[in-house]
Amino acid sequence: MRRLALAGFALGGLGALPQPAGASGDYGCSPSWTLAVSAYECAGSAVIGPRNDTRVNLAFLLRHRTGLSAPGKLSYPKTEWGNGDFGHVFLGWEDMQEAFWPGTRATADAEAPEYAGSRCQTLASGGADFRAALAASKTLHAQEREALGLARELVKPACEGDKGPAAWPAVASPPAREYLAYLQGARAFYVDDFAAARTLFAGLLRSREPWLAETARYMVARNELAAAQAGAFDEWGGYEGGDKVDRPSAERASVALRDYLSAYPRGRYAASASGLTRRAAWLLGDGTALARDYASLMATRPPLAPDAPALLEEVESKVLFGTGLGDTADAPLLVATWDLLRMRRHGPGAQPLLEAEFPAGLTASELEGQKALFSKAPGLHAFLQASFAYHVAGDYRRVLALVPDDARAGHFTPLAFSAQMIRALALEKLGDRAAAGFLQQMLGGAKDLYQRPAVELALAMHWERSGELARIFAASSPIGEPEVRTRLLAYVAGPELLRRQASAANAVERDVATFTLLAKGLSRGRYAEVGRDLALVRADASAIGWVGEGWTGAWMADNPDARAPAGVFVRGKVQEQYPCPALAKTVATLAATPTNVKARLCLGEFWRLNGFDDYLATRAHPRNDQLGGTKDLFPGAPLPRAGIYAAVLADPGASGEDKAYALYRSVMCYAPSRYNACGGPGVSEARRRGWFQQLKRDYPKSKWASELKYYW
Amino acid sequence: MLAACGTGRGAPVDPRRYEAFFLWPGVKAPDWLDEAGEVYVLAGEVRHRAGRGFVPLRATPRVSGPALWCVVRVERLDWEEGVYLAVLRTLALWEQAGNRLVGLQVDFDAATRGLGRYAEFLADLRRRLPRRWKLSITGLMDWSAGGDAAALAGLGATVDEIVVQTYQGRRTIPGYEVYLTALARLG
Repeated sequence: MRRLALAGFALGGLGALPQPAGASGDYGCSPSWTLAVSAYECAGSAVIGPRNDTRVNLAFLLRHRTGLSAPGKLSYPKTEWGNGDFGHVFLGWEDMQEAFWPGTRATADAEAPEYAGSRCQTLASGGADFRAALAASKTLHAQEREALGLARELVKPACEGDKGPAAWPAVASPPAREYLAYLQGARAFYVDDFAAARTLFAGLLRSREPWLAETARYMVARNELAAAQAGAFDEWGGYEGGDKVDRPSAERASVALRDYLSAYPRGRYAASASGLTRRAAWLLGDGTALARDYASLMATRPPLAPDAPALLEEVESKVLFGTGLGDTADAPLLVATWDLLRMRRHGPGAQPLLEAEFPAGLTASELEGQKALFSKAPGLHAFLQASFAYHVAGDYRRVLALVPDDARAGHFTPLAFSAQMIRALALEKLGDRAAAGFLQQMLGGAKDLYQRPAVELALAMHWERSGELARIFAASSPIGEPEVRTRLLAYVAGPELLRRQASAANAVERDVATFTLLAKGLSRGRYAEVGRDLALVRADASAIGWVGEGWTGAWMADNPDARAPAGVFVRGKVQEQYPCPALAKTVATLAATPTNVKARLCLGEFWRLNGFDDYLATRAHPRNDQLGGTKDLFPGAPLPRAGIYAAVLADPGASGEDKAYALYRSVMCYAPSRYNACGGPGVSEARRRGWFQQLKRDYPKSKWASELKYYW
Repeated sequence: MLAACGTGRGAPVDPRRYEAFFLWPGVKAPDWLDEAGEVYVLAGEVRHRAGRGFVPLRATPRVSGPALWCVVRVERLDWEEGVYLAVLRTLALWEQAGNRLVGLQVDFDAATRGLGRYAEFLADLRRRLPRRWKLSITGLMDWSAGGDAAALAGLGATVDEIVVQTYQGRRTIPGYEVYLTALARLG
């Protein structure tokens, strides 16, 4: 059977245009460990800019405008696998919500109403309201009231696909007939008979029953909206929009909603009706009206309200990635957010999917032309110009001209922080030696969540590059971010520093340092040192943490078992079929005789049985523009298993049994995927066949020859 | 049952050469999709933060030709009761809308090392799922390469099929045929 994936991503949906540039897997997200990024990444930072999710930027801008800053009152979200590599330096939209709107997500959607996501989701609440209205009506007879209450049950089958006629009861009094007409209208509405529903609801607008008159007026509008979009979904349930929308219905809906809201400004459906007003504008593609509505909502609603994140999501999906802003949007925050998205630059080889769908890049003259729009927010316009100079024009001197030095401020709003950080990044680009001092000054005011860790990252990168690693690990160091420190230990630190930090107070840092010291020492042949350093392994060090390719966010978790597995060097598995002593014994043998064949093979067994293959392949050293990307100060190069087996095969003194095992393991390096698991450059299939045949030919009686049935 | 996925980038697709297709949201279904035998249609997601419910990603389909699998992309397994309810209701709505519904497919990026817990989740889901619907899951390439054979067998006892993903993002993983050969040998 063959299948085909029609893959893509939702241009109409949330988080539409971005793609996970720094992603490590289908859902995970690994940041680029630098702030000098002009492309979108799933991991954003406190520096408002093109890298961030549009919702993150918009939320920061909103916090800035309202002067919100609550250091000490808010806390970082807990680490989960979605943000496991972020530390407190990076954040995505989920983290932002958890950090700045604490407690508001937990209950969202957990109890979705029946038929959630479809028009029928109001079936239950509508029924309850209807019964309450019957009970409150002063004109109905008891019998009619009961008959109508039962008749409401006839609406429900409409939500379950039953479009057939309903057996309505006969009622006589005029008000009872009106209530019945309402039920018939509701049923027609739920079965998509919009014409019938239109007539029935319209007939009730002048009812003397207050509930009926108000509800019918609201339902006239809802019915038109449903009619407008009914044809806009294809048979697969996908929204096609555009010319598939029934515009006359959408326009009637728009009028009817205004009509309802002017008759009942505080009516029972007022909140719904104002939301539906935006839906009507969206269906009509009226970006200017939508942008105005959202700008006014964002200005009037308290930004800490629990529904603020939902509003920002709506803004993004319906305006920014929906209708577009239009040319005359009087909505500075939205325009700024969109401008920043249009400043995104993608590195070579990182072309976005569906590039044609991306908005055109922002030009300098366009930005200049927006001056009037930002007349009430000149600081925001200057920030956008500085961002443009940094991310697009690469004119770092202009950044300095646009952003005056205010590094010593006592605190920073999100916008002020971002502006000062762009200044710091521009100083770095210019090679200005003042950059480090500037960043150190910023530490004093960087109090809001995610601010200080960002400054620490920038400062640590500066000192890493100026050869001042020792400052970062000095007792007086301002760099406390565990992720920043441990990445430098894992990727750059030399043996002396690692040995010192292996006795650090912080257990996470201690384990990373110990693990790195032993793994690098052992793989680089420093056996005598390793023999001494093994004593640094704490009794409680994890032996089951993930080795992988080296540093991982999992090492930073609260769970001690997940930490850098320094314990494997003492308690790890050392043998399977090939007999080996404890690792310390093997190390002692190698210290005395580095070419000892059995000890070499046992070292290979240790690497293999404890999952070190990827680590030794050393593919994971960060790019040189990222934290930890400078040259590894640990001398030597690692010898992966492939090198061990090659050395044994080339050793004339090796026994037949040991050569047979080296051949067996060399072949198994490629099982079963034909990918080389053992490091080194990899060999051709002919070479693998050669090993297989040599094993069978030269060592026919060895157990390894009889064990091996295939090569790969 | 094992199945391979390819992508049609570059070459036009002849639907008669494939038996089943997968439809993501936001992608316009091509006209010829009506002629497919089976289509896996992504209905929604259960995202990784606890408390976020089922997020629907499309309206109820009304498809007359192909049989449909209702696919739910899953980022976590600690579902609240409301999530089970929402997913089961979605299946019911799709059936009531006249679609030929084969069953539910769970698309979860289970780490090879976490297959045991996944098997428990699926056994529970199977118990909740009316028998008339099948249960399918997607599988990752490394499940058989580095996987726990017992845990993999445990999954096999619960689900009706495992669809192996040979793509990442929107690109087919190079060498996927070789991997599938290796997988077949395990079976």
